[in-house]
This record gives sequence, C-alpha cells and structure tokens, in this order.
Amino acid sequence: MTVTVSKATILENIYKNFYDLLNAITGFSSNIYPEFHDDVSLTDKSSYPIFILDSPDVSEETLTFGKTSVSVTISIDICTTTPKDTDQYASDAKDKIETSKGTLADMGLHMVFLDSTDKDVIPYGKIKVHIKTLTWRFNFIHTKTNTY
Amino acid sequence: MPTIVKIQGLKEYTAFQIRLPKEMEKEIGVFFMNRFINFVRKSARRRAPRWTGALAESIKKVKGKNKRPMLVVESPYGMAQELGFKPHFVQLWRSTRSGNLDVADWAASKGLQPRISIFVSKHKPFVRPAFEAALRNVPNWISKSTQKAIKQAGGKK
Repeated sequence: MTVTVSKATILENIYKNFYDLLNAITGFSSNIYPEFHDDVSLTDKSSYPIFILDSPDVSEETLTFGKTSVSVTISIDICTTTPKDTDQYASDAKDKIETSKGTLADMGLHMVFLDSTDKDVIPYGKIKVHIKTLTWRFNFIHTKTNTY
Repeated sequence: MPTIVKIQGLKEYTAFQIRLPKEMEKEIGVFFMNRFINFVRKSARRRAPRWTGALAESIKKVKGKNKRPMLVVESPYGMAQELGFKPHFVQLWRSTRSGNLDVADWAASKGLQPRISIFVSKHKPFVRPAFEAALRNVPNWISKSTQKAIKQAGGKK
C-alpha cells in the first residue's frame, strides 16, 4: 500500500513506497532487506535471492521563489547465485516501477526514470553471488521554508 | 559582385565550447567520481570478511582535499586484512579490537577449542577486488558522463 510523500516524511515514505511496490512482485516477497540487516546470511546459498533496498539519497535545489525541488535517487541490489536469475529479477523490478509511474506520481514523485544499472560478482566461500544494482532517479517538489 | 559568407550558429558553438569544460568537470570530476567511489565502497563492504560486521561498517566515503571523494577504512585491522601479515600465533586473551570481544570469543564462534592461542595466516583483501570490479564499469560510466556533459553544454542558452 503506497503512502503520500510530504516534506516531513520524505525519506521514510519514499522507501516505503518502493518497498511496497517491489514486495508485490512474485519472488520478491519477504526477501527485501535494508543493507546489513541481521537476518541476511550472504554465505548461505539457500537464502538467495536477496534484494537489498538502500535508503534514498536526496539533494535539494530551488525551483521557484516558493518551491524547492528535491532530486532523489534510490537503488536496489538484486543478489542471486546465477546471472540469468539476476537479469530476470532486474527486468521484473524495472517493469514494476515503469508500470507504477502513475501511482508514484499520485504520491508526489515525478519524472521517475531508471538512471543506471551496475553489476558485480562477489565470491562468498563456495558460492559466487551475482549482483545487479538498479538506480532510479525522480523529483519531489515541496513548498520552501523561507527564513527572513 | 562580392560574395557574402554567412556562418550560422557560430555564436552558439562558441558558447558551447566555453560551457563544455565546465560541464565536463562537473560530470567527470564530481558525478563520475562519486559514482565510482560509491560502487567501490558498496562492493568493498560486501567483500570484507565478516564476524561482527565492524570492518564492513568502517568503510566510508569522505571528502578529501579539494572536496574530492575518498574511501577510508577506519577499522584498526583493515590494513592487515587488505595487505596481509606474517602468519603468527595470537593468545586467546587478546582483544580482537572489534567491540569488547576477545580472540577466545572468535574461536568459540567458529567452533574451535584451542587451549592457549590460535594460529592466524589467512587474510582476505576486499578493497582491491572492489576497485578492480569498478574498473570494469569505468568506460561505460565515462561515456555516459561525457554524453551528459555535451548535452548539458549544448542545451543551455
């Protein structure tokens, strides 16, 4: 269930919106964690796939005299033990966000687009973990707090 | 009859040439560097050997000279893990320098039952493999940053 983003709840509600959208995808449910979560065991092959949703990064700039534009990036790391599964889940995540742009716009998040993808391969003992990182960028506009 | 040669767009091209170095500096010097360091930081954190997680959490991005991003490993044993050490014995009562835990706690967590000391010989580099993994993506990142800089320089009036 998505929630409206406001100036006071920008970080947690953006995280919640993306978490809820991605959690609804088949295969993602109950496997999405923040970074360094205690429940995540990276050395156990049976615990994959693992999806790590990072906290969003924000930067502000003045849009108009009374409004501030916040540029936000949020990324998800898709960790699996085969490259084919990594690409499959990455496609699912990309498609979900793409088709949910209207929902995100209703929550106040505009111009959502996939900014970049990165890949990495990390050996953990006997298993090789393939990681695909998807980063989305979008804007949020709120009224400026004037101090004068 | 004189021939008049008119060059159209020269003013815009000159303005583009003036803006391009600044946009390139912004894209390559700032955005690309931040992206590179963020990738290395994330990858190094995942590759770092883990027990309490203190080593991985000590890998941070900071601002160095001239506001350039820098990667630092604040943990006291980070260098030993990265660069290696002479194999040696460590007494059980010694501190691991990872919180208030000593070597006996580490041995117990690994299912070992030594009496006096343990022999340590293996180290696991984590920053250099992360750096090498990032280097594979560099041509793609630089190409994207350059395209963006050209677009930014050309787009502004």
